[in-house]
Amino acid sequence: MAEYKDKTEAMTKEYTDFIAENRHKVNQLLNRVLWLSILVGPALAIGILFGVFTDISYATCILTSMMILGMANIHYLMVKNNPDSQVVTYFSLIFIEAIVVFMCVSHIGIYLTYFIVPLLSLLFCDRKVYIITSVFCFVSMILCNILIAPFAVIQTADPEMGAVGWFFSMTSGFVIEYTCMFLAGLAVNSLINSHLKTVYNNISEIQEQTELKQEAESASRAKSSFLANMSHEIRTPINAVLGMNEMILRESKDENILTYSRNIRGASRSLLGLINDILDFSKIEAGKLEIIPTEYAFSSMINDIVNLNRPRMEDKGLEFVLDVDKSIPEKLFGDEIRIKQVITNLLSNAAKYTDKGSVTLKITGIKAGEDVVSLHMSVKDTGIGIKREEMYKLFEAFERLDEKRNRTVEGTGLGIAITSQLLAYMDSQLQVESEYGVGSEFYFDINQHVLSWVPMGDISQALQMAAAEGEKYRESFRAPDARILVVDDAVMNLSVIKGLLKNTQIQIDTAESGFVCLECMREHDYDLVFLDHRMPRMDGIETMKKIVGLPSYWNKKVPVIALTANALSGAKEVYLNAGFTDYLAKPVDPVALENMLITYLPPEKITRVMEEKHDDAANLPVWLYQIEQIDPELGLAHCGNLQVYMDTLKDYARKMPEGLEEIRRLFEIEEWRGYTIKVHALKSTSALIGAMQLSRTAEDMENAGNTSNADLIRRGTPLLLENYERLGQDLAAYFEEAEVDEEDDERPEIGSSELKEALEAINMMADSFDYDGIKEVLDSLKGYKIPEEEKDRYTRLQEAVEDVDWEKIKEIVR
Amino acid sequence: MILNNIMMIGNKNSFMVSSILRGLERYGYKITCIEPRVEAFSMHTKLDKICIVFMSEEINHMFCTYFSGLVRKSESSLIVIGEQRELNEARTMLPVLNIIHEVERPVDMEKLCEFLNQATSGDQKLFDRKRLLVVDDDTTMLKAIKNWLSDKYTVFMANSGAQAITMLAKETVDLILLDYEMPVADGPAVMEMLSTMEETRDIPVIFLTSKKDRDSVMKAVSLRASMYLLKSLPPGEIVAKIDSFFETQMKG
Repeated sequence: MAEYKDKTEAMTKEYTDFIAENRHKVNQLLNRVLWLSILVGPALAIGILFGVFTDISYATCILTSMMILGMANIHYLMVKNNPDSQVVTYFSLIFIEAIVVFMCVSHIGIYLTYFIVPLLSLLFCDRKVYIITSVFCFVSMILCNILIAPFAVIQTADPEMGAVGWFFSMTSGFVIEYTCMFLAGLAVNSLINSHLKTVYNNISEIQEQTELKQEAESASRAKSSFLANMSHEIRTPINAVLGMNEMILRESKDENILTYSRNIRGASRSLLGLINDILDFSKIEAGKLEIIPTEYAFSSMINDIVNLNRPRMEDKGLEFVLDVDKSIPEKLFGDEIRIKQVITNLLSNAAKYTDKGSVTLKITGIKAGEDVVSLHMSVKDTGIGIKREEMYKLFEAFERLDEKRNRTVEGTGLGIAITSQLLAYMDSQLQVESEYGVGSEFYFDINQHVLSWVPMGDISQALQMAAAEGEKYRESFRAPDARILVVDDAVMNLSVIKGLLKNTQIQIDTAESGFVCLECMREHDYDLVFLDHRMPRMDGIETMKKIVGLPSYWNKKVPVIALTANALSGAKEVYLNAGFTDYLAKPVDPVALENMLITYLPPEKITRVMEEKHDDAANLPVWLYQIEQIDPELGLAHCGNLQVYMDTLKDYARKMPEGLEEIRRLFEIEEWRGYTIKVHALKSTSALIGAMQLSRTAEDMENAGNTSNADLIRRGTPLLLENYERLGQDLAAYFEEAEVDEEDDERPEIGSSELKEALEAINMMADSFDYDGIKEVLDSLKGYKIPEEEKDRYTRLQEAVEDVDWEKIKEIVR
Repeated sequence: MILNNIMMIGNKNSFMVSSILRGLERYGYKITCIEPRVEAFSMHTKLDKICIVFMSEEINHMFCTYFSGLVRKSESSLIVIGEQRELNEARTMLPVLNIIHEVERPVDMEKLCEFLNQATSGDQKLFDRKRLLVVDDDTTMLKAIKNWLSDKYTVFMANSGAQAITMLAKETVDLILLDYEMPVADGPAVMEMLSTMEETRDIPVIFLTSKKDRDSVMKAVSLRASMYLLKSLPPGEIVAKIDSFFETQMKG
């Protein structure tokens, strides 16, 4: 590619230089031709007049002149239409011979030929032709004179002279005159000849150059559009790879597979990065890159930059130091996305070439005008640095520095070239200071418009808090009642989105074209529509126009989100203008997708849950997945962590028979108030362990109880009780198994004094309601065999503790 | 502050010793537990101002001789815990002038703490952790909630309104998390009861319930509950809400 570019550039330059240089030459030449015609023209006229007034007939002179002109015309046309100069030459030669012979034979304008012959020969610009013609004329003239001499003697009044005398008198003058004319013509000829040659050469050269340039340009255009198209085509499969891989990451519990899968994710992401680089670069080359300034919050930009880059640094064990001037105004106006890209490029470069130490991002700002702030941004690393002699290569596309040492560092070599181009677009310039082996500093100053001079404050603190928050919990959600439509012509993309949203339990319909989308939207009410931009026949924007025309759209104002692979600055405006509610970049980022749904789905259909910690989800016992009424991951999310979840499940199973009996009893005696309270509790606990169906049934019963709808209760309760009992039994089966296992082992029997001490301790802790303390004592008691006579008391104690019944605990311990 | 550091002489493996340690830690004391063997003191040649001695067979004459020397040298005060017989023994084996308090088993933690509180410094804030009381008739839920909150708070549990009232008579708490729907006395009823009692009137109450109908919420608001949280919220969020409640309370 670079080769191409260089060639094109070099050619263009040569072409323009050449034109400039030769314009002068051409002008000079034209001047000379003009002078020549001024000199030759009067000579020709004098010649003709001389012929007319001496002795020759007037009509023949005119005829001769006309023939000369006609021949010149013919000659001109032939040169123009037939570049084969040989044919032209011979053809013209015949004409000249004919004219000369005609003139000599008729003995007209013998002097005329003096001028005409060399003049004609000049037209051919060829010395050989000129000499041949002249010699031919000379010979034919002498022959003519020999032939005419006898008659001329008769005609003239001087008979003494005789034929021979006449011949010599005529010919001697002629030879001298003709030789002089010939030599002069020769000189003029060679002069014109040499100049014309250069002009012809130049013209053909220019033509050649123009053709080459056009060729190179069209090749470059083809390359750019090829790249743009290819990168779109490459993104689509990567989208599928990333999406499918995300599902493996979510669903697989095998640590090996997870490792492979994480590697796939890393590789796909860097592939995507490369493609974005290439796309940007081809845009810059094609001059299509635009800087689109918008209003933005400076702190949120820094936040994005840090979130994007910090993980990379931390993975490599580098310290990422952020030093941002607190007084930089918060509300600025500029192309946030491009600035972000520039800094991210510099940071990722720094991270790439730094093995240990730190990378520092430092930003300071000074007021540069009424509403302009000049930001000084610098990225400094403690990496390998740049050799002085390689500095110049830095800004060249596709050049990699210190190739030998950096073979293993990945990259296209486009990063800095893109960065400096982007900065050039924003009227800034990238500068470098570097010491080989010590580190480099890349920095630039950029002016941004200020919308408000309110300073943004201390960002590092806010970031730290955000980071801590982020680690604490990440929210996710379930929306089983929501229904959405996803439209994309690539089936793979449809299954990616379906897979990513599997956990949310959203009902997802899919359509493979805009037409099907419209049909679906006519038939069903959706809560949200994802619409791909690039589809064959009817693209997303056209489809959107039609959607706006649908009555169902106006009834509900369904949010429609554009899916697009070309997410550039300004894209948002394009989609919003087309009627979309928002847009989502492909490859779809799972978190962005979920956030989008949280924002646009009706809030009443969303249940927020805490994103389960990956480890906990992976450690969920397999048997839990076999219990049909439970969604283990949802349960885990509701309980917060695995320990609580398992405890809760166990407790749920333990309490089932009692709870079941209680509900049944209240149901039978139709004590609806008590019944409602019990099913209310069942609703909450069932939801807590992830038994959503059961929870919903219980909720229905609770509502029926609140409205004293005895009929509904009578109809629904048997099913509720049946499911409740089955779930409890299913769970109990697994927990009992565990109990039996423990029963077999040989534990030492507890001594009576120790038991007494334990009970005393429990009593003491029950006084201060220390539940954990009691649990601890009970746990340590599990290490002992309890004597037969105390077993009943021990079991009752365990029960009481599980029920958090303080009075009962104290009663038993006493 | 330094007075909060207390040494406990006793074997950690004993149920009682570890229970007392737990109990004291819940009240905000920092306790160093040292086994009653001479070798164990090689690291602690100077005792803390207050030492609690848990009497057992392990505390024999030889140890007492050594330990008494240390006590005199460090001018420590002793609190002795044991049965009556052991307490009598202690008076003969340990420097009797340094014994400031005797606790007979079964130990009443409350009284012990009360005494410690006086002995250290009355105005010291002992509870650096906030104390919460969770009231819910559904013990499964109750325990789950406690688990979520235990990392940051000392959590008491009551499985009925009545129990909550009893507990509040003995323990002071900073916040009550109250379920709405409960048998016998429901949430609002408990809250009304609390507001009639002098010592519980000012404790803030947050409703933590799965009832989300308008009437319930309005009733809770009319009773001046500090917040109304739904159990369906993710645990992390519930904790975060309570954190922020305390934060705003501290600022206010």
